[in-house]
Order: sequence, then structure tokens, then C-alpha cells
Amino acid sequence: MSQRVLVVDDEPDVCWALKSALSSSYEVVTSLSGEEAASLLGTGEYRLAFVDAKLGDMDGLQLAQHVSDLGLDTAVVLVSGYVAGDDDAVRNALESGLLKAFVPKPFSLEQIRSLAAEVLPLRRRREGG
Amino acid sequence: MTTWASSEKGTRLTRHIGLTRDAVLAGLVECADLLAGQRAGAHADGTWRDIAYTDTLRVLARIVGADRGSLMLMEDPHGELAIIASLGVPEDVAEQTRVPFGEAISGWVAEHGEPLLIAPEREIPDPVREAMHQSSTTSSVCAPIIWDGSVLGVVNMGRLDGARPFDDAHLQFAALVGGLLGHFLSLRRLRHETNERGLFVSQFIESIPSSMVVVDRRLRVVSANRHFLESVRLAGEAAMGRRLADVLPSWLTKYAPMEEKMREVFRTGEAFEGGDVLQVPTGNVYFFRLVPIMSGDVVQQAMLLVDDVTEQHRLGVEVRRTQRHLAGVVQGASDLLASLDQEGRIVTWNPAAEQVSGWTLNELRGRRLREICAPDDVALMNELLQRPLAERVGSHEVRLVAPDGREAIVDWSISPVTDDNGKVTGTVVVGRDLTSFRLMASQLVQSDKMASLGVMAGGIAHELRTPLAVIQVSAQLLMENPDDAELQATCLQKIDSSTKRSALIIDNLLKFARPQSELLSEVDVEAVLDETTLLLADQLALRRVRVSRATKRSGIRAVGNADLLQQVFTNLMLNACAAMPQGGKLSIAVRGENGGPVRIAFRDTGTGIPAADLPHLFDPFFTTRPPGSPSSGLGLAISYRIMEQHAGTIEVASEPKKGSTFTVSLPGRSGVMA
Repeated sequence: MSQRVLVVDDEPDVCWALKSALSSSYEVVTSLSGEEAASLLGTGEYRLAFVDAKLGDMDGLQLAQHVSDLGLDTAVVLVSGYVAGDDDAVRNALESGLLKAFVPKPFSLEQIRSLAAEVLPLRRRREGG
Repeated sequence: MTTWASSEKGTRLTRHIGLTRDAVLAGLVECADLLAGQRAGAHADGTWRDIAYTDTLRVLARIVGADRGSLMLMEDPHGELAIIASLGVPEDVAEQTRVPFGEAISGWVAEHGEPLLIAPEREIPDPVREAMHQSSTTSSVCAPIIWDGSVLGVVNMGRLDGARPFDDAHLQFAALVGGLLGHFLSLRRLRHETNERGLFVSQFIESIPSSMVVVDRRLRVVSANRHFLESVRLAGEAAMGRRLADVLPSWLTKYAPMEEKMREVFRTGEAFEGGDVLQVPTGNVYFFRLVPIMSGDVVQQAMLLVDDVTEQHRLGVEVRRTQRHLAGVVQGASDLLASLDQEGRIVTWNPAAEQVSGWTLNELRGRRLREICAPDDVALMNELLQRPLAERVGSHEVRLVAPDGREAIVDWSISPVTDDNGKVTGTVVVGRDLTSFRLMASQLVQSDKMASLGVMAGGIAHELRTPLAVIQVSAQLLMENPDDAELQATCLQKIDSSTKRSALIIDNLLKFARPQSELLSEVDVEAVLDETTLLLADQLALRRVRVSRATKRSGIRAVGNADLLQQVFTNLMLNACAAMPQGGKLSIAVRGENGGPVRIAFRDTGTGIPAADLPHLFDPFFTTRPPGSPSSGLGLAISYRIMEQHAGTIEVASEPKKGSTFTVSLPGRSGVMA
């Protein structure tokens, strides 16, 4: 299985930030809409997805539910500047395993990278590069 | 005796044949008995024809040997003489006979107050002789009924043809009887008057509501009215002759040494005002007075008058309480309350009026309201004061100018004060201070804005966190990759744009939050809409509300206040979000020409508004959202007010389950400037 990561956010700059954080270690694909992300995830090529809580066409939890419904082995990390980690829906989703983790905005490179490393052990592809 | 009229007094009666001294005395005694006796009784018709007169006339006729006789009285001094008793005179003649004062025999006697003897051997004027002949009278005597110098009537005696004429003795006797009758009549009149007066006095005493008791100099009760007797529970006879102190109730004697006071009244001849006394057992209040009854210079009797003044007391207390209450209302009122006299001069001016106007009552008393009005408003104030209440429509707002030049906007309501007859006696003026109301309205606008800010806060947090996330990641990437020039350029560009974006959000936030100036200027409506949409972008995204703007026609300018319009747009857009809980489409269309009227329509695809709610939509604090939701219920009310300030309108059309359209209209430049 490839080390592919999907980043879903309707803000192109946020996609860029997440991609920049991860691209040294993973193959990162970005998507600006929930609809597109759902079909990308449907291919089963992604072990990890960073999903914005509020997308233009759906919200992050819905996308996570979609992943679960499809029985995919994709870890979903919810990223949000609006929803807090103690939000009931988010906490339930974390407890039920619907979500792998929750990352509030703004975030650091370290936060993103360590979360990614938890799911996808690093090959150290560009080590020393 | 050479004249026909003779009144030779002092003639000794006994000299004359046929009329002895004894007969005369017996006759006089008999007459006096008759007159003084109880046999006098009024005839049914109530005239003075008493049996005693007729009887007296009979005695007189018997003694002087007269065939006929009459007794004539005057109702008024110098009035006509009428027969009240007669002998040998037909009743109808007696009934109708009236002799004017000074005329004929009776009139002459009444006028001169002297007795008159008419006999054949004396000189008799022809008319009298003729009259005597017609009535077959040989001779007659006529004597005045006289008392204390005034003539009350006459008594006539006549002898018929063939009889011996009267002589002086008969005349003297008739004169004596006349005097006797005079004495009796005056007594009788006096007694009648006294009775009448006594009756009046006793009726008066019984009818007055006071309790009254009269005492003599020894302080013994001589008279008391029913009220008094009832109040001390005594029968009339039981009270008479008793000492005053013995008949008075103890609560009254305890209050004042009544006998001592009474003696003082007798001594000084001055009334004593006792004042109010509380009767402890009943709680009633009585007022008592001691009044002297004078006879000449001497106080013969004195009167104690006691009045129940409980009701007056209660009313007095009530009136004072009502007055205090009203004064409290006027003093404590937050509205300006003033009263003007008939000439429009200020009489009262309450503390609120002093506070709002800056003028005290002392400075304004006697002055006119218009003197403290703003010069431009004097005409309006005059008109308000002159026009009848019913005709007053439109603005009653008149500005008052304080001594320091500060102005207060006051809304006036003016009503005339009339007396019981409907006559206008003054004016009551009530003013509401709109200055503070206006201030409060603007504070309300501000608080609504804060409420909107609360709703937006979540969105704004996200709005700022996104660029912050980009900045943080960029900075960390820069530190990580000091040698990657391309990455550095990208990062720096991201930092730059995100910083600018954050700054813009903060700018807008501040612009929204700060108190607006109310100045109207040219506004780019589309630009205001852009800014508002940007501020709410996140909120809209969160609610999955897609904003669709009709093709922009840049530069549509209207006259308005950008801050206030932004608040209206914010309210309408947040309402649209609330109306579309499942998300939807908000179409915003701007129509209008530069300088002309501009209409901005906000059409949502939400739940719509029930028809019953439409009339209340713009009422303050009207909300359909559940309690606890971030809705002040003020948004539309304030939007309405803001559009009023713009001389514009805000309208709503709604169809349940299909959505609502709010249309904001701004007048053209000319509309506002006009």
C-alpha cells in the first residue's frame, strides 16, 4: 500500500500548508470539495486523510462517516478553526473511532507530522536530503 | 260745640242723661273681659272677624243705644278701611265696603285720630247728610281705634230715623272703647308676631344639625333641641332646669371645664370657639362653641352648640392625603409636568421639568413657555397651546433651550383644565424628554450590533485561524529549509497574503463594532455588500448558505451611512441563515441608478414567515427563534429604525416553505436632501 495522504480543505492555502508539511515524507493529494474527496477516498488508495470540519458542500464528519460506511481502512483526522475538540459530535466521533484525531487551527508542522507518523511509519525516503 | 266735628275730651260722662258712670264702667269692664277672654276665635276664612269684636260691638251698641254699628280696620297704615265686624248692616254690604284713608266719616277719623259726632243739630256737610239720609241714619259716632299714637281702625255707631241723636257722652264712651280695642289689637298683633317668630325660631333650632342647649345665668338648662336631648339621652322635661354640667356627656366636660367657660361667656359677652374634640369611645370628632344670647347689653342666656365634624375631618384627612399623593406623583414623574394659568404663564414646574430644561420653577414662575423654546420652535409651541386638543396632529416636538444653551428635544401633550362649568381655567402641559430616548435608541442599535458580533464570533475565529495556520506552517517551513529559495518565496508570499487577509478581517470587525457616525454621505452599495458578505463568509459557509449576487454593476451609489447599512445587511443575511437551517441560497440583487432610488433585495429559500407573524416582524424583541438562541429580537426593529433614518423603507414578502424576500429601499440623492 502506498504512503498516500489526502488533504481536504476548501481553503487552497490550508491545503498548501498541510501538503508542505507532509510532502517530504508522503505522497500528498489535495482536494477543495467534499464531493471530490469522497470519490478519491473511494479508490481505497489513502491510509490517511486530513479533513477540514467545514467544507463548502459537506462537513468533515460526514466525510468520515462516508469512509466508515465504505469500510475503508483510512484514518481520518479532523482539522478545524471553528469546532473545538470538546464538541460533543467530535468527541463521540473520536470515541467511536470514526476519527483518528482532531487538530485545531492554527497547527504546527510537528503536530501534523507526528499524527501522520502514527498512522504511516516513515520510510525516511528523503533522509539526509 | 259749634263745629260739626267735635272731640271735646274731658267731658264728664256722668253729666249726660242716659249714660251713668256705672253703666259706662260696667260696659268698659264687659268689653275688656270680652277682648281679653278666650272667646276670641278666628272664623273659618281666617280673617279678623272674631266673635269678640262682634260681642264688643254689641256691648257698645247696647250702652250707647245704637241701631247699627261696625268695626273697621286698616291692614296697612294709611290703607283702606274694611269692616271686620258689624251690627245691623247687611252682610254683603259689610263684605264689600272699603273706605279709603282720609275719605268719608271713617276715613276722616282714621286720618285725624279723633272721634267724630254727627247729629242733626250740628253742621253736617251735604254729601254726609245725603249719605245719612239714604241709610236712614239720624246721627252717628265714629271713634278711632288707636294705640300708641297710630290708628289701627275705627268703630262706628249709628241711630236710625226717629231715634234721639247721639251726644258727646256717647262719643266719649265710643272713644274709650276705641282705645280699649286699640290696646287689645296691638297686643294681639304683637302676640301673633311673637308666636310666628317663636315658631320660626323653634323650627330653626330643631332643623339645624347641631346639638344645642341654652342655659340661663345660673347655668340651668332653659331650652335644648332634639339633637341635644337625643345625644345625652334625656327627655325634654328631664333636662329643663338642671345644671349644665349634669346634662353634658363626660367626654365633653373632661375635655373642657364647660361651666367655667360658660361663666366667662356670660361675663365677657364674647363667644368661645371650643375647637375639635375627639370622642374616644366612638372615634367621632365634635366641634363645640359657646355663644352668648344678648338682651340689650346684658347676656341673658348662652348657648352651647356641638357639631359632629367626623366626616369633615375624614374628608380633610383624605384631601390632604390625596394632595400629598398627587404632589408625589408630580414630583416623582419622569415626564415634564407643568401647569399654566389662563394667560399661559407658568404656575407649576416639576423637578423632571427643571432637570430636563435646566430652568427652575423660581426662574420660570409667571413666565411663558415660549420664552425657553428654541427660536425655530416658538411658533409651533404657540400653535400647540392655542389649538383645541382634538385638532392637534403631527409633531409635538419642541426643543427647549437651557440657560447654558444645551437643547432638549421634548414631545408635548397639552390639555386644557376646566372648572365645573366647563370654563377653561388653565392648561396642563406634559412633556416627554426625547433626548434620552434618542440616546437610548442609539444604544439599542449598538447593543444589537454586539449581539450580531456574538453570532459572528465563531465564524470570525475560524476566519482568523485559517490564515494563522498558514502563517505558522510557512514560518516553520522557512526555518526548516533555509536553502530552498523557491519554497522560501512561496512561504513568504503565503505569510504576506495571510497577514493581509487577517488584517482585513480585523479591520472589518472593528468597523462593524465601533459606534457609527450618523452622518449620511455617498455610499457604494455594492462595496458595503461585499464587505458584509466577507465578514459573514464563514457564518454563511457554516450554515451552507450560498450567496448569489446578481451581476455586479459597480458604482451604484446611494446616500446613506455605510456603517448603518452594513448593520442592516448583516441582520438580513443572518436572518436568512437562520431561516435556512438545512442551508440554501441567498440571492442578493441591487437595482437602481446612480443618484436615484436604490433597492436591495435579499431573497432566501428558507422556511418563510407565517402570515400571522408578518405584522410583528419589525416589533422590538419579537423573535421566532427558540429561547437561548443568539437572537436579540432587535435586529429587524433596529434595521427598520435605521431605514427610517435614511428616509428609506424595509419591506418583506414571504411564502411559507418557499422563502422570504426582504427589500431595502434607499431614496435617491434628491429624496434625502429634500
